[in-house]
Amino acid sequence: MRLFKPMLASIITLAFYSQVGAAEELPITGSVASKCTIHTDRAGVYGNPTASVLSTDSVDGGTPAIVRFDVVNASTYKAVITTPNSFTSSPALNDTLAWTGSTEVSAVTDSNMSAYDSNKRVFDNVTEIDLTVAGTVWFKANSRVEYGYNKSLPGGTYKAIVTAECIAL
Amino acid sequence: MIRCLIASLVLVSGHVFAHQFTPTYPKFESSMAETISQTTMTLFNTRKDIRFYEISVFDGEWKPVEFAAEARVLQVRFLETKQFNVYVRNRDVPRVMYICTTSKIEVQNQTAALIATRICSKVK
Repeated sequence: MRLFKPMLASIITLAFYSQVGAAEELPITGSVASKCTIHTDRAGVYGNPTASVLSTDSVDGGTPAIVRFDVVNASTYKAVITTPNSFTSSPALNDTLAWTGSTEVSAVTDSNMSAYDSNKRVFDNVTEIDLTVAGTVWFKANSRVEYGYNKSLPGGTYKAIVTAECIAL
Repeated sequence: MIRCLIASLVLVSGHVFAHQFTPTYPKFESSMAETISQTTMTLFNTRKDIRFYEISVFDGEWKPVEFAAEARVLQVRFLETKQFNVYVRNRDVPRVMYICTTSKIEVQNQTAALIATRICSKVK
C-alpha cells in the first residue's frame, strides 16, 4: 500500500509524457506542383481627357489594368494579354471607334524578367510573353479609344474587357 | 487613427483576386466506359467578382474538341476548389492539346473596365 501511491503517480506521469510525445510526431506534408495563377490586381478605369476619347492612361486621368502572373516553374507557360477592341456595353454609338492598346511589364520579382518587355510578341491588340523565369510578374494594360473625328462620346457607362490568359507551353 | 488607416490601406491594396487551374500537363486515362478516356482537373477560384467558369477543350490549332464534363459552365464560389473530370472519346484523345477554363463575367457586374482570365493546361 505504501508503494501504491508513488507507482500511480509514475504511471500518470508516463502516460502524460507519452501523449505529449505522440503529439510531436504529427506530420505536415505538402507538395509544389507546376501551375500558373492569374491575379486581377486592379481593373482599369477609363479617363475622359477630351470629349471624343476614353483612355486608361494615367496622364489622361484613367487607371491602367494590372494583372499579375505567378508561375512555379520556368518556361512552362506563356502570358497572353488582349486589350479591348470593342465595348461590352455602352450607349448607342453611330460612328467608328479607333482602338489602341498596349501591355508592358509593370513590376517583377526577378531581374531576369526585365527581358519580357523586349521579348514580347505583339500582333493586333494581343501581347504574348513566354514566362521563362519562375516567380511573379505584373503587367500593365492600357486601352484608348477615339470616337469618330473629334466627335463627342454620348454620356453613359462604357464597359470593356481586358483578357489575361496563361497558356501551358 | 493613422495606424488604422495605414492598416486598412495595406489590407485593401493587398487584396487580389486570382484564378488557378491545375495540373499544367494533364494525362488522359481510361474511364469506366470502354470508349471514353478521362482526366481530372482542379480549379481554384479566389476571384470575388467571378462565380462561373467555362470549360473548353481544343486541338493544336485551337479548334474545339467534343468533350463531356459535369457542366460546361461550372459554378465555383469564392475561395472554393472544384475538382472535375473531363471526358473525351478515345479516338479524339490524340487530337486534344489544351484544356481551358475561362472566367465568365456577369452582366450585372458594375465595374467599368473588366478583366477576363483564361488558363489552359496542355496535354502532351
